[in-house]
Amino acid sequence: MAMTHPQPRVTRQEMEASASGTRQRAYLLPGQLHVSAGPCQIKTILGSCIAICLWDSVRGIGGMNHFLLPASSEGHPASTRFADVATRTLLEMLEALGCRRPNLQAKVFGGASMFVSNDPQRVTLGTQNVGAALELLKAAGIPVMVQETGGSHGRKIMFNTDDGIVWCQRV
Amino acid sequence: MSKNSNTPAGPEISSQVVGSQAKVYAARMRLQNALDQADALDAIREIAANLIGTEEIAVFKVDQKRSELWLYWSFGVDPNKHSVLEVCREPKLKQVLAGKPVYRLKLSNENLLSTEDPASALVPILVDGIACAVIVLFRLFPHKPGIEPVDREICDVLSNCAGRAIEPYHSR
Amino acid sequence: MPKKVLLVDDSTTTLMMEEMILKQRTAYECVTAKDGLDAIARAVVEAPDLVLMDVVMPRMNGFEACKRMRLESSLRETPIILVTTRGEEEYVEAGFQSGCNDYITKPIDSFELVTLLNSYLGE
Repeated sequence: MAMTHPQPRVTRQEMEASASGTRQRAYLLPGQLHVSAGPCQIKTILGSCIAICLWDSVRGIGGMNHFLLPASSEGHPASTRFADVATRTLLEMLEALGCRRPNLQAKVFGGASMFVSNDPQRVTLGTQNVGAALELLKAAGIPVMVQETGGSHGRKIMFNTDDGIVWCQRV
Repeated sequence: MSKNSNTPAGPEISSQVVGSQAKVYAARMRLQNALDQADALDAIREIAANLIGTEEIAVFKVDQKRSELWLYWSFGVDPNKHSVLEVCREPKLKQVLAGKPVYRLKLSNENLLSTEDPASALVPILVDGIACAVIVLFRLFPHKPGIEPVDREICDVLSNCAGRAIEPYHSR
Repeated sequence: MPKKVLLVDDSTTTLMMEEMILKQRTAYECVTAKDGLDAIARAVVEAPDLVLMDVVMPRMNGFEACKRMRLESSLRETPIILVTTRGEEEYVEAGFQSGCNDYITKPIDSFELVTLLNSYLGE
């Protein structure tokens, strides 16, 4: 079983069989997230955005989100384009598949700040996004096993939902 | 801090309002400044792609008996699949021909037409208050969850200002 | 002096909308260009603090314009954000490989646009 958000018009997330024929594939656009109970490789490409990969090590189930902004705000419709809604929704969708929070572990990617600043005090959007992701995971009690964030380059992420392996490639 | 509807709009609310106003304004100006019929059709394509979020569009003209709609122009869809729509077989079209747009609800799989391609919105083009044609917006972009309130405002502009797209000598 | 943003799109509708949002929500000065070639010429003359550029345009697309801007010494460090209707993997990857710093998808959300630009321009 696999689910993508926004639902149900998901998506031209092309769910295709992988080369081996056993792992499905999904590609996430900004603001989307995907969970899968079956083997699936989820991909996305990040600049200042963040992807959180959550994996249940006991059940071998995982999911990933891709958000653009650190927090939703009053007056703006709730949307998975924001860290808080995207992460809450990802957790809810995983729990709906039977994942238990104590078994979840997180890997966090993205949050680049791709420009040269003369002001060392400046907090960039990428930095704010990283901060938001770590805060939300801490509040949810989910340990961050891998963090590959910041820097000044884009990243391509590939996450296997069944074995929890993530590839992070500079683009 | 309490929340109530009388609270003045904060900066985020203003941002949303400004964004909506900007889209509606740009749509209206683009259509009103269309040079000719071809440019008006291109304006519909531009508005659909850049402001609403679809690159699959068709314009159908209503026949004299108002029983059929014939494909007049399309972009991003196979014209052979959509040459004619019969009003008797498309219940949603009755409301559209009465001048009211119809939208597919967010999170709904319902197709507004019996076509193979799923329609997201049916927008009448009004000339002198009468629906002379219908703009069909098919699939939205994959990252677009559905038709939103601002899209409805933009569709109202299409409805009221796109007359030139179907009438070469329409003077407005 | 206000920061300067170069808006590049072949759609007058999009330029009008972006300009209106930025004028009402920020103090940035906007200059515009209608395709990739025009964008390079304008960027060299105007020296913008940021470029917000469409991908699919006549004469020269956003990827090529982005690559060529990176060859200009005055534009090597200028943040370039690509605006695309196609968020597909190959498009986004091609965008980063052409030297863009970030990307957003159409239709543009005003809040996201302003937040992203403010972040890059330090406002």
